[in-house]
Amino acid sequence: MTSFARIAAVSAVGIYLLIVMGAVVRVSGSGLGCPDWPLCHGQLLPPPDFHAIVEYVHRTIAALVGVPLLLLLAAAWRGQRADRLVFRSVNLMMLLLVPQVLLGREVVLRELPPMLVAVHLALALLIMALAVIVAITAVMRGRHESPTADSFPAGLGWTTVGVFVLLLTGAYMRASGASWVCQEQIACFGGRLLDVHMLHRITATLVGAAVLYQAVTLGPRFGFWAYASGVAAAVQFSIGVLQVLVAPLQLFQVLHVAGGAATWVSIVALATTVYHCTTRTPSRIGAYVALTKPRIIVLLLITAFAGMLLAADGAPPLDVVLLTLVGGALSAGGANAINQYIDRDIDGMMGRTTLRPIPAGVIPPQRALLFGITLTIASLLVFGLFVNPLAAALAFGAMLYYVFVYTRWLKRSTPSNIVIGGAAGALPPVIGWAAVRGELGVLPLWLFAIVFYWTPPHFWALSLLIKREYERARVPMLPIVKGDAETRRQIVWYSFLMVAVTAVLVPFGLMGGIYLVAALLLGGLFVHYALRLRREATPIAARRLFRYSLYYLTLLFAAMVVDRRIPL
Amino acid sequence: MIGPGAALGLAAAALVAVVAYAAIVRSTGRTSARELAWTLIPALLLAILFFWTALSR
Repeated sequence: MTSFARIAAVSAVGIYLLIVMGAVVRVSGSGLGCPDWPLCHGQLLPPPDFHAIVEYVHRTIAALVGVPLLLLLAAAWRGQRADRLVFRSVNLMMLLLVPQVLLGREVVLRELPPMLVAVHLALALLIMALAVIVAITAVMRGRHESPTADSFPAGLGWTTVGVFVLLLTGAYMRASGASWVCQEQIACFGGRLLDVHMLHRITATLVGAAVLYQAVTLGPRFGFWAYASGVAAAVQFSIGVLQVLVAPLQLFQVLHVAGGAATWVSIVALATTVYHCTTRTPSRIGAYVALTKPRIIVLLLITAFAGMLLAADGAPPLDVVLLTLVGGALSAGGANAINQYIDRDIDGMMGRTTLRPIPAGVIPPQRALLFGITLTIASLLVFGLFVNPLAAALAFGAMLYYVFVYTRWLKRSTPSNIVIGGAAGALPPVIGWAAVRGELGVLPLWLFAIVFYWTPPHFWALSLLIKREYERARVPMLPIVKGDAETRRQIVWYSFLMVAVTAVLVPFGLMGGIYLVAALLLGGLFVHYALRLRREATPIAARRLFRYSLYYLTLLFAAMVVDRRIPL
Repeated sequence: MIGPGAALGLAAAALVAVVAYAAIVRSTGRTSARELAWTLIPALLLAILFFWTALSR
């Protein structure tokens, strides 16, 4: 085993222990054993009190687990960049770690809100799964095994998802106070709590059966992890039944969490093993992720997050933030998938998009459409049920605008396509604001305007780079219809206009001095790159402006947040 | 800080500029009415924002 694989394995074991210790904290009622964070009763070491010590041990393990995780990150950046699965998994793990630590703090400071506790567990499970994927991948890369399976079994993929959903239903049941509402009976129905409880039992039965089936069918070929997942699921199911039939003992409760986490580890390890023993056909899961255009989603979520921070004038409620980011990602992902369905004819003609899942033949068009519609409905449910109707309506409106006004109509009919169509991409900060406030105001409309005017220079810089491809696909982008020189001229005008719009917020009293300095400096650099593009007229200059425009928006919104916190 | 009157004045000036711009571009005959309409939308958006901001103060 390589040292990298060892660090990954230690990380996974550490996170597992952390989850089990978290269960001990919860079951023993020690969650507020240290009522402050990160200190305990204002001190580095806990007082000689049982609950304080239990909570302190949990925090100590959390801090210790950070060490192998940081080592893993450093090792991945140093020597694993070529292995995309490993490199991306490690980075994603570290990204998830940030909200996870913040959540841990919120859980204590807000005195254990049940839903936050459940989300805290869900994130821990995801981070542990990534550590397992990295560890198994690192081990298997060292062995250089030849493929033994033709394709990744879809049933195993669904079973893995099922185990995660099952663990979520368990956490939700616990958070809702529905754990002990149906003792000594096989089934109970009636009220909401009983329904929540039965949802967990029914899911456990179905998923448990699926895990056993996978263990039996894959065991002879894949050995340890297949059998381990079967045993873990069986033991876990038995502990659950014992809790119902005998008594909800604290020991059983801790073991139930430990068993759930062990089942999760085993099934993820099995899925990763099978994945690496499969001949390399294009990954279906990866194709569906590609269908959502994840890179674009990240930028949209950054602006939505900034909208939330500005609306809250401080730290917005964490559950609203998480639900809005999830709903936003679903909405944008759905819109992007439908966009790729509509554009499937021209995507095949352009080098940049010819490898997209539909033109590459990995996902049939109808499936992609269905996937996009499903994500959109899921987004509506998340926003409508858990955030608020205004945010739901705005997100749905943005999706409809992007699909029907931009993709279906403007994109192929006018060189102003991305100017007018850019309105869809300008809505996320408004949605973020609406999610926190439940109403609109003047500032979110100016945020909309800033992104709206930022879009043309950003997009035209890109279209100058790939003009020939748009030409081949007969998309009337500005450089094709009006020529490169006119496009560069308009980029300069729109850059000036954008900087003017960003500056106008100050005389209106919407932003202060810090923001003004940042807006002028960042905007000045933007205009500088735009002028340089006009002067030099080279692809390098276009690429420079395009890249800078991505940083520009993120930094400008960060400056707004800082300004509102420290008004001058 | 800009007061409501000044903001309304700015918005009105923006509208006048938009109309003047449209007239000039149209007179050159280089742009179709449809394209011109698309070009004017961003400018109109800005004018509306000025009005809105002025009225909300």
